[in-house]
Amino acid sequence: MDALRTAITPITHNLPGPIRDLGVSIIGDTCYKALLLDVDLENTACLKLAISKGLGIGIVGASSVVKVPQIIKLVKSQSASGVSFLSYLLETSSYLISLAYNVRNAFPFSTYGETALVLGQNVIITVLVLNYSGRASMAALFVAALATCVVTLFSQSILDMQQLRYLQAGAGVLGVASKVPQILAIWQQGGTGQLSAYTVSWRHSTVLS
Amino acid sequence: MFNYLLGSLTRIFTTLQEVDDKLILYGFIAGFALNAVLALQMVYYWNTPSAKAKGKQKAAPIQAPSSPTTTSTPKSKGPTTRRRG
Repeated sequence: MDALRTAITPITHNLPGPIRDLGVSIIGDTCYKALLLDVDLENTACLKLAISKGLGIGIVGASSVVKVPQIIKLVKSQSASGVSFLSYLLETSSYLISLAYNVRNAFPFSTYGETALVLGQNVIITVLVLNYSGRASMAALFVAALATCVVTLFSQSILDMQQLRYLQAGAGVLGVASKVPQILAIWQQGGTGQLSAYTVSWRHSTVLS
Repeated sequence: MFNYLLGSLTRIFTTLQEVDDKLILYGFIAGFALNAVLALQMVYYWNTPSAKAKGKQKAAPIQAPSSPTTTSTPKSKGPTTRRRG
């Protein structure tokens, strides 16, 4: 351990400014000093925080492209067949509520960032689906309704925290409710049927995760 | 499916670690529990033949779950041998 420390400290003490600032902004001054400058790996509180941050940033990073295959598929086929507008609408609503709840509580971005990124991709998919199914005016209406919801959810004067808390609880229940029929259907059919591993993950992963 | 399962498990950890909010925590726990049931169902029924299995092949390359196939093979073969005996 001491050998490791003497080997690493000269490097960690001479990191370029931008990297040091980035590290401090992620795990904070105290833990940056403990983990990188002092290389104190017995500081479990800081170690757990660093692991948590790393995993959180990983999830946010992965989520930034998670729905791109679906978007590419839609654009290539120019067809909305097989994609349910309703399921995207529900998922998008519950993501928007979660995002507002997290932002207004000022939680760390690494713990909820995927909601924002998946939300953006979901909006693109929903607009594409409506366009390709010949309901372009519905797409315009959808975007307008979405904008209204954003203003409402993020405004303290229109919607107070207690009401937002109820909405967040409702979004959680919705997420659970949306998975139960799936589980029952697989049970009854005695197989996953036309639902591929991919589809199941697709539709059910995300409302809460 | 399985990456989402891991994702929701990870989210429980990051929430416990960094977010002091029961509502969000319970949401992730519920999500993880249901994802776990779905994942178990996927593994259990992995080799069950289905009429519309072609849809699976279309979507497969994006997810590429190679390991679960091998682990689930004995499970689905089990019942047939038992019936013979």
